[in-house]
Order: sequence, then structure tokens, then C-alpha cells
Amino acid sequence: MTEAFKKYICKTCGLIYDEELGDPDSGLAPGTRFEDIPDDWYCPLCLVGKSDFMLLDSTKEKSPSDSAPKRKAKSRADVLIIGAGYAGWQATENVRQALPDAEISLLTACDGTVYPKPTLSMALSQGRTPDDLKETTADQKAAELNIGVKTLTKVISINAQRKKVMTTSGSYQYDKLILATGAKALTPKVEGNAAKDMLTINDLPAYRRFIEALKGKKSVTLIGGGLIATELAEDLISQSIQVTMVIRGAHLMSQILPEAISQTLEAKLQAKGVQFYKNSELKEMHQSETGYQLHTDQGEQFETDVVVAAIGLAPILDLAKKAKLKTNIGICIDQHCLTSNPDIFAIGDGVESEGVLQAYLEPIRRQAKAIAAYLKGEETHAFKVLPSLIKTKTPSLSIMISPPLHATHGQWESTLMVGDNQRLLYKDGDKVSGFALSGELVTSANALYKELFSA
Amino acid sequence: MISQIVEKDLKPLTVSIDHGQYTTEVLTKIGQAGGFRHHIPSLNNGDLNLFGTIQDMATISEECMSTGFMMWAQTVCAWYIENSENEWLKSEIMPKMVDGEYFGATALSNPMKYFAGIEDLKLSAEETEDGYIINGTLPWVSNLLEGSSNHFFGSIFSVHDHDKNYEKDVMALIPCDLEGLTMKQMVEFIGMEGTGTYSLLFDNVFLPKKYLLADPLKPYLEKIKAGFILLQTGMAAGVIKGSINEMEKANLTLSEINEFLDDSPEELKEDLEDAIELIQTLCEDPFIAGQEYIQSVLEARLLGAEMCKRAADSVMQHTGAKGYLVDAAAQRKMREAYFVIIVTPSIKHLRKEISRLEAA
Ligand SMILES: Cc1cc2nc3c(=O)[nH]c(=O)nc-3n(C[C@H](O)[C@H](O)[C@H](O)COP(=O)(O)OP(=O)(O)OC[C@H]3O[C@@H](n4cnc5c(N)ncnc54)[C@H](O)[C@@H]3O)c2cc1C
Ligand SMILES: Cc1cc2nc3c(=O)[nH]c(=O)nc-3n(C[C@H](O)[C@H](O)[C@H](O)COP(=O)(O)OP(=O)(O)OC[C@H]3O[C@@H](n4cnc5c(N)ncnc54)[C@H](O)[C@@H]3O)c2cc1C
Repeated sequence: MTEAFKKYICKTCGLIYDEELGDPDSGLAPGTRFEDIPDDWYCPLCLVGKSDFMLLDSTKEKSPSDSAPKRKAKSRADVLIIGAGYAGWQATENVRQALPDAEISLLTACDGTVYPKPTLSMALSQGRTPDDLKETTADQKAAELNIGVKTLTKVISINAQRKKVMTTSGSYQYDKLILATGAKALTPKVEGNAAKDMLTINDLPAYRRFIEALKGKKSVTLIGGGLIATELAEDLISQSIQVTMVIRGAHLMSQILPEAISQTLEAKLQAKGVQFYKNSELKEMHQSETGYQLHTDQGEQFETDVVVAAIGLAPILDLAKKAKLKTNIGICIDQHCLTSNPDIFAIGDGVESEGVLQAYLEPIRRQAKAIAAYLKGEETHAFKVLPSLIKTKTPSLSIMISPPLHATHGQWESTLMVGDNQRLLYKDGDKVSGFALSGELVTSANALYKELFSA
Repeated sequence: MISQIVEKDLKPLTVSIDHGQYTTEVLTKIGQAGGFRHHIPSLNNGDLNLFGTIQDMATISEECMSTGFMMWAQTVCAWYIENSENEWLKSEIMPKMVDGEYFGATALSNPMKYFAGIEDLKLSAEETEDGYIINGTLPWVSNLLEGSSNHFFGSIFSVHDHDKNYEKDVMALIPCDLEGLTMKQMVEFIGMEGTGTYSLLFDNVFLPKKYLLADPLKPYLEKIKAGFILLQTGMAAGVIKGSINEMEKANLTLSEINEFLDDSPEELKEDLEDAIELIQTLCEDPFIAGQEYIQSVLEARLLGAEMCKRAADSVMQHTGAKGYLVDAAAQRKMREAYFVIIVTPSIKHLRKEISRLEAA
């Protein structure tokens, strides 16, 4: 008698590995047992190893309770972390490991719940509710790491000279400070009496509002055509929701994806009913009898039930500016993730390194290691910007890309094209600085990445 | 200059003001010394120095926050006129208000709750060709004197046509000597008794149009909002400083045992300095558009109120029984500090507003 197939979930990003389906995109045939997966296999979404997966059913039982004892943040800490997103918790974990006896505190404006953010653009098709995504509460996590935590507490200013941060409920001294304050979702400037109803999705509470707004509704309009908007479109059509996308550019994901693959994906989404308004910007959003009436700058007008903007992120800089740290588009950091102040580190979606901003999980893990090593006095694990390897959550067409870090002078060249299966290289003169694969060719992504960038 | 007024004129009156004496004497002195002028560019060589007014208000509030609160009412009322387009008010009323000959007040608590969707506007008016006929009641407006032709307050009312159809909301300056306007002191407060605080009853009060401050209202409110809130931080900074002074005095004899308390004067002092630095930065340009700036302003105001809470608690514990005596400065500071906490926008109001902005 064969054992029933099981599902495993990536603790980091929430990807579900279903033994029955396998993961053909990374070369795992349907029916591949989790234990039979080779040890050098990576989570295709966030690139953690196999050991970061756990059996899916066990996550449900472990739903957070408030029973963990409160762990108060001390008013003085050796290492103080601001922010409890992936970056804040990664930094905390790594620093705790490096400095077992240090007094560590974490302050955060949110409630500190640990959840896999990448799941926000695939939870509908996974059949998971916002509550299902909670892994642990801040108090539980703090107890586990033996740190102090204060949630729902926004830091409003930093006094770098006195080495303390201010909140409305008191101030906290630090010896070393780690800024993990992330980025803010941008919204377009739109006229009309309903403009304030536009949603964005960059954290769990915002996602919960989105799910609330979606109840009983049939149509959603997405503003933006980037990675997150595209993934949300896929997730929504899987639930038979009518999706309209208003895209400023000429193609989906035009910042990171060559036109040839965009076109294939667009055709597939269109076949599933997605309506595109390309080269178009939303100008007005009005209340209508059933939902909203939208107007674009191209004169298009249509009705919709819910409007979500996904036009990009802007690093949060106000604290860094108050501490007089060097900032550009993000907070500038060096190879130790140090800012221009020798006692302040920065990590995550809010940072800029070598002029590059990367809002992904993988670099955050390496940044956290760099900070921990540096605090321990070791010169290992220096952080360096590497091209990212991204698998888009687009079931309609498998895509893996490694966009060029500096897409200025080069261009995409198609090297293989058989139906949906395409391979394009980004060439800057003779140098290949990025690639894009679709269809069955995605299975070669890891090898190609290694060949190009692991020299 | 302001500190001399505190020593010479205010200090001898602090206790009787706390007991309910309303006087304009000190306000006039402050006006003559230039304390109401810093944030009024048209009377300050084109210079907008909001922080200057806040500092003077803090110096006053450190001794007597009732007077500090009246100073806020006065300076915010001048701020209303300065930011309006009413040239008559600017030339006939505002200079005298800034000099301390006229007195200004503000009745914006109810409208603020109205715009937050908490309650209805309490005043409504019918528009005539040359003015408004106003009816309704307003609870609690400070720095007023019954029947005075030298006292004015800024207020918002809804306007309807002859058939009672709502048209719009407008804001105007209202003199205290209008016919049909009665002022009553209905209750006794535990503090701020000497602030000339009245309930106002409007019975077909005719207000000439020359007193209009804003129509349309919305863009005007956006413009004055940050200044309105930032000016209040002068009260907070002063009362906290006053509490610290009392704690330091107590520590001359009790420092050994006071070590066991939270929030030492040194800690509060450092936090206060940081907070003041933050306020100073926010004062540089009070007209910055957008959510981020106004949220920072609300946070700074909230910080002031939360620190008042700490100071109020700590000053009582540091001073002990001496601070618990009738007319002890410590318990006066405590009562004053609680006013910063509950006056509109109160801590709960601020927290709600900030979380609303955060979610947006
Ligand atoms: C829908 C979606 C799908 C994604 N999919 C993927 C994917 O498939 N693979 C991948 O690698 N990445 C993906 N990402 C990106 C990845 O999730 C982010 O890079 C990562 O979660 C960022 O973490 P962070 O901690 O830097 O920021 P955040 O999660 O934004 O955390 C910031 C924290 O700082 C706190 N904070 C901010 N300001 C203050 C203050 N003043 N005081 C106190 N606290 C403050 C906040 O409350 C919060 O706790 C996705 C992102 C989204 C939105
Ligand atoms: C001595 C004294 C002098 C005063 N002088 C003036 C003056 O000169 N001018 C003036 O305009 N007012 C004045 N007030 C009124 C003052 O500003 C406050 O509005 C008043 O104290 C609040 O009383 P309340 O009964 O509404 O209290 P509460 O209802 O408890 O309200 C307190 C605060 O909470 C807010 N609030 C209440 N419910 C909600 C809700 N659901 N959501 C969000 N916020 C909410 C209110 O806006 C208010 O800020 C004075 C009050 C006193 C005691």
C-alpha cells in the first residue's frame, strides 16, 4: 500500500511543495517524495534549502496563541532592532546566534506577527486565509530568541549622538542599532471622491483589508504591471475573479522581463479573461452605485468592485534622515550593512547597496549574516550585491529571470524560442549580465545562474 | 524679556489664576514683549518663526499653564487671521491682537470632532446678503470675557439657505459683544479655572460678513492645521519643564530614595530636549503638503501628551506629601499636564487619527 501524498511548506516564503504534483520547473517529477528531493535543491521562490520546509498540516496546529509571556523591551539594549518584517527577524536571529549574551531588543510599529510575505500574492490559490499565514506572535518569537520586544510602537526619531531612539511612549538607548524599517507601497495620485479607497498590499494587515474588501465581489482592477501586480492577477483569476490591469508601460513586468516573454504571458492571461489597458494611467476614481468608476488618461472608463495599486515600493527614509544617515533612493549601506554612522546598520527593502535596490528575501538573509559576523568581530560574510534569481508566481507560464543589475546600455537577445519555451540573454556588448527563461526551459535556470555568476 | 514677565508679573498671580481669576494683564505684557508675533510674518518682517512662539509659550507654561493655554488661544487665533484672505481683519484686528490689546480665542474643538465624524456641528447659520444669522450652543471656549468688544474667537458653522437646505461650512471670527450672544460658566473645572472658559449660546446672532475667515473651508483648514497642532506643543514643553523643576527641587533632599522611581528628572530632561529638537524641525515649514508631514506633526503632539503623562506621575511621586498639599506646585503641574492629555486633540483622538493615516 502506498502512503498518501503529503504537502510541505516553505517556512520562509510560504511556497507549498505538493508531492503529488512535484515541481517540474525545478526538475522534480510529479510523485517525487519530499525525502527523495536532492539536498542541493532550493526553494524556487526564495532560494532557501530543503531544511526550511515543514509538513503543511503541522502549521495549522501551531497557530499562534497569546499565551507566550510578555517580554518587555528594556530601555537600554546592546543591539536594538527597529522593524519586525523578514529583515528585522532575520537580523535578530543571526545576531542572537552570534552574541548569545547580548541584551537585544526589537521595536516595531506593526504587531510583529511572523508571516511569509511572498504568500500574499498566492494565498488565494493555496486556499489560505490571512489568519492561516500567521506563524508565530511577536511574543512567542521573542521568547524563542530570548530578546525583549515592543510592538505597536512606532519610532518617531533617532538621536544618533546620544544613541537613542524616541517613541511616543518613551525612549530607548542602544549601543548598536539596526534599521529594518522596509519600504512603503506607492499609490498613484488620483482624482475623484473614492481615491482614498484604493488599496495596496505590502503587509499582512493590508492584505487582510484586501480580503475583506473582496468579500462577495466579482471584479478587481490592478494598477501597475510589475511582478506583484502580475502575481496578484494570476491569484485572482484562479478564483474566477474578473481582473483588469491598468499598466503604464507597454508590457507586463517591463522593468525586468524581455518583451517576448511578456507577450506570451499576456496572451495566456488574456485567454483567461484578464483585460489589459496598456500605456495607460489611472486618473480618476469615483464612487459608483455598485463599486467604483475609473477613468484613465487615455479616455478609458470602466466599472470595478475593488482597486489595488501595485506600482512599486519606496524605501522608508524619514528615520534615516533624522539620524542624518547617508541616503539616496534607499538607505546607503556598505559590505557590513553599516550606514554612514558606525553604530547604525540597515537591512531589507529600505536599503541601497552599490547603487542597487533589491526587495527580495535572499539578499536579506546574506545581509543579516553580514551584520552578525561584523558584530562578532569577524570579517566573514561581507555582503555583496549579486544578481537575483526570481521565479514569478505565474502558473499560466513558468518564468525564471535574473534581471541585469544595471539595465542601461545592453539589450535582450533571444537565443532559443520553441513555442512557450524561450531563452533570452541580456547582453551588454559581449558580456551577459542577465537572463530570462520561460516554459520548460526554467529547469535550466539554476545551472545557468551558476555558470554566469558564481565565478 | 518673557522670563522677566514670568518673574515680575506672572509668578505673583499663578495661584490665584489657578483658583479662577481671569486676567488679561499678563497677556498684554507678553504681547508688548513680542511673544505673539514670531509666527505672524506680516507683522514680523516677513519671518515665519513658529518655533519662537512655541518657545515663549513654553516659558510661560513652565510657571503657569493656564496662562500658557490662553497664550495658545491668542496665538492660534492670530494664526487664523494671518492665513485668511481677509484684509480687513488683518489690518483692523490682528495687529492689536498681536500687541496684546485685543484677545483671541478658538472654538475649534467641536468642528475637529465634526470633521473626524464624531459629532455634528453645533452652530448653524442662515446667510443673508451682508452676513449670517447664527444659532446654537458651543460648550467650552477659553480666553473670553462676557460682552467684551476686545475679545474674539474663531469658529466654524454650517450655512443653510432660507428653506433649511444645507449649503456649506464656513469659518469666521466672532466678537464677544454681538447681540444675542450669551456666555455662561456652567461648571467648575479641576484646573484651568482662570482661563475665562465659557459656554456660548447663540440666539439669532447677526455676524457681518467682514468677519469671514474662510469660504471654502477645506483648503484653509489644511493650511492652518499643522500650525494649530504644533503651537500646542508649547504648553506640553512648558508643563513638563515645570514638573522637572519641581522634581529637581525635591531631589535636593529626597534624591536617595527617589532613585527607585521611574522617569527621573534627568531622563525626562533628555527626552524633552530631543522632543523639542523634533518640534523645531517640524516648525521649519508648517505648510508641507501630504500625509507624511502631518503624521509627523500628530506624532510630535502625541509625544508631548504622553510625556505629560509621565511627568505628571513622576512629579507627584518625586515630591511626595509636599506635592500633595493644597496649592503645591507639583499637583498644579499634574492637573495642567492632564489638560494637555485631554484637550482636543486628545491622546485617544491622536492615536485614532495616526492609525487612520497609517492604514491609508
Ligand atoms: C506580494 C509580495 C510578494 C512577494 N514575493 C516574493 C518572492 O516570491 N520572493 C522573494 O524573495 N521576495 C518576495 N517579496 C519581497 C519580500 O517579501 C520582501 O523583500 C521582504 O518581506 C521585506 O522585508 P523587510 O523586513 O525589509 O520589510 P517589511 O516587511 O516592510 O518590514 C518593515 C518593518 O518595519 C516596521 N517599521 C517601519 N517603520 C517603522 C518605525 N518608524 N518604527 C518602528 N517600526 C517600523 C514595520 O512595522 C515592519 O515591521 C514579495 C513581496 C510582496 C509584497
Ligand atoms: C478647561 C477647558 C477649557 C477648554 N477650552 C476650550 C477652548 O478654548 N476651545 C475649544 O474648542 N475647546 C475647549 N475645551 C474643550 C476640549 O478641547 C475638549 O474637547 C473637551 O475637553 C473634550 O471633552 P469631551 O467631553 O468631548 O470628552 P471626550 O468625549 O472624552 O473626548 C476627548 C477627546 O477625544 C476625542 N474623541 C472622542 N470620541 C472620539 C472618537 N470616537 N474617535 C476619535 N476621537 C474621539 C475628542 O475629539 C476629544 O479630543 C476646553 C475644555 C476644558 C476642560
